[in-house]
Amino acid sequence: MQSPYGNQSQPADSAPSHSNYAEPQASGPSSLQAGMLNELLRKQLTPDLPSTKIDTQAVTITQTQANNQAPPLTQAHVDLVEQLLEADTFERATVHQLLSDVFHLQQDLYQQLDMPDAWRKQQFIGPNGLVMSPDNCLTSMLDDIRVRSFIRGIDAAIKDKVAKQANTAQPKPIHVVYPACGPFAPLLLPLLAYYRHHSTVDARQLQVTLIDIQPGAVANLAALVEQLEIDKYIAQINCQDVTEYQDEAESIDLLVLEAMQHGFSREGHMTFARHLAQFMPLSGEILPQEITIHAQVVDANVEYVNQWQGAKQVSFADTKSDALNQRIDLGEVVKINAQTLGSINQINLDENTSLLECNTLEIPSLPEDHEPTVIFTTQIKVWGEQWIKEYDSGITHPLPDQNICINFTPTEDRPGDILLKTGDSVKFYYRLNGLPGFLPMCVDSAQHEG
Amino acid sequence: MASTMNKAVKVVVFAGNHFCGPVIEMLVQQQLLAGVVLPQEPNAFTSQLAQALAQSQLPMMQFDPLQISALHNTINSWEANIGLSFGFEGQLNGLLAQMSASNSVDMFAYQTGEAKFAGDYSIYWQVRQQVKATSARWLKLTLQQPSAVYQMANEVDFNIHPMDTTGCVENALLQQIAGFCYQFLHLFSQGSLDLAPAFNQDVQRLSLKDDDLRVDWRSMNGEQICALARAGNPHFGGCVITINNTDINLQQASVVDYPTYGVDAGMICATSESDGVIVATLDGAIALDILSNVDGLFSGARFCERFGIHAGMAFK
Repeated sequence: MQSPYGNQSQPADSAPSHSNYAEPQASGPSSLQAGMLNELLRKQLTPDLPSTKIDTQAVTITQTQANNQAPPLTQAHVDLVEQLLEADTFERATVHQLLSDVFHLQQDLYQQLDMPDAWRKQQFIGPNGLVMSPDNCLTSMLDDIRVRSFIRGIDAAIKDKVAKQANTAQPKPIHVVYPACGPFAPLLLPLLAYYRHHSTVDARQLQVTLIDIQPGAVANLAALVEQLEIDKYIAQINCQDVTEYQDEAESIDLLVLEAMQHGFSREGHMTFARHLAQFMPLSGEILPQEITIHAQVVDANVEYVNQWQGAKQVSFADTKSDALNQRIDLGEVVKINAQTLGSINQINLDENTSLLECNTLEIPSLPEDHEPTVIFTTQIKVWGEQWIKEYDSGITHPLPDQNICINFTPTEDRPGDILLKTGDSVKFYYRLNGLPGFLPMCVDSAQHEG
Repeated sequence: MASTMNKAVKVVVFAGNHFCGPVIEMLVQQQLLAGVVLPQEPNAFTSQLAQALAQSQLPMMQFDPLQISALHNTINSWEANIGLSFGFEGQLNGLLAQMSASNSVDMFAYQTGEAKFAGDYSIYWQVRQQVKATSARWLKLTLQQPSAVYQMANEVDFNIHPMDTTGCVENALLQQIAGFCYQFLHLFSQGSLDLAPAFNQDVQRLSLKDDDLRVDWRSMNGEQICALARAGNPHFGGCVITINNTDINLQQASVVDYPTYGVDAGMICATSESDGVIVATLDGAIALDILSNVDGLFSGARFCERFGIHAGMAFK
């Protein structure tokens, strides 16, 4: 048996580079046990290794199981997506339990993979932001509202695109690209397992490119694709920096991108979106469709402590009206969608430092009963009616910026402090390099900077 | 080593730090030891020394600034004619006054490095300030109110390797100090000491406070942080870095060529088995090679894995 990605794979411990895997091929039931899978992965990742004989008896046993019932990993993915797409209401506890089931099975697969420890653990700040280690990506599957919103949104977007293709003279598969997808591609692979199981969308209608810079993530993706038997849907699994991806044919119909931490910070979402947008036709769509970041002034105690006392869970629906009412909205810092991605002005300070110009906001009168804290709030419109609102996810948890001091002077001298007062205008820039994030500057006078 | 002294030499040792250990051993072997004066406040070294002296029934006395006359009388009773001070400088003015009056004992102090490094932490500060070579010398102590005046007597030079810790330099000096001392006593017995003027009359003795051991990412460059770790190794556990309000001892660090993409100094740029843990500095990056806490010593990579430290976190 050959790996569907067998002959063109990339040594994954080398410097990131473009690595196109072979086109997906038809293959029989291929739910391999982990040991055999490891051998396949070794072969993919080090093409010079001699091929390893596979225990056909073990394969037969697995095939027999597959004929009667989907393997547990596949079934768990299918059950999850059935709940997410078909349930009339959002039962968070139920969804969380299904996600936990998937998480534990995925974790088992990941732990059994024979790959160097370094591939699992390396984490670094690259030119476009923080690159998480595969180990630290494991729990992203448990971020329930985020996963639900994306899977529902992506499903709607794919079906919309597929329907439009069906009406064309020569329908072609829609091409979905999911960069920085991590070791599990949690926003998309469950959906592919569901499509295959229910024959909802087939591989002639949908082709997916997965991209991640971490060789450990790519190795795990290959294994997971194999286990879920969704290899026919996979056009490529590329081990590369997202900004090295090239697509002269502008074939990206849907871009699924989620590479940020709270306050739209630290990871390379903005850079990736701007790079990949150039490979999209006019009809191409980005998920999320829109990300809006506001700057707000709050009493940190009310915002982060008081309103959550006694709370059983955290989400936008659980926020307290008192806490929302005490906020003072400074305004929209930036809105990121297909239109603004192309129009936002970039300033290159030097070869390693680039800033994007965002909005200018004015500091209003503020109550004097507490030191105001500025927070960046994020609202994500994934697709249509699918939203991720504040506190719904780790990525929309409001981010305080302790360096912005309005109407007070901090007791100690801290690097990066900016001292502002009522009436000042603040221009926000978005830093693209190192650890991306917002950089406020007082417009009126440089002497305000601490 | 048979004694080749031209005249009777009887040495009283003022044992303030561990450099006197090999010297006392040599003096005992050569039957040149008159007695040992121990500091008023004992430390681990002097307590151990006191035990060893008691077992060998060698003369000793504890220094008491309020009993200088008694000390002077005791030293006279030991028939000492030369005193060697190890870390007692600054406490001897009263005794020097009495010795000067009786003209009985010539006092010398052992010192390393330039005058600006004078003090109990001389070698620490030399390593920390990346001095490339140090010297050891005997300085004659004479009374000139209000403080003693140092005069250069005899000197040898030592190179300090860029990777040397304070322990390395101290051990190199300790290996040679007995021979250096013997040569010095030989010249003294011949009356042929080549005394030169002291290089600095106003010596400030450098101290070392807890905060001196702490890395300041905002002001120190990579080389300075690496030197700070070397200087504190092994006596102070290197230097101290703080993450999530927790102090960690940095025992060894190395300057590395690693892109930091403009992140703030103190930000962890990479954690991996191959690179270890790389942290941005004002002028580039360093690898944190060896870290320690109450649980023990760890490589950078293992420390990060064991205690959940990742790229993207920052040292304060």
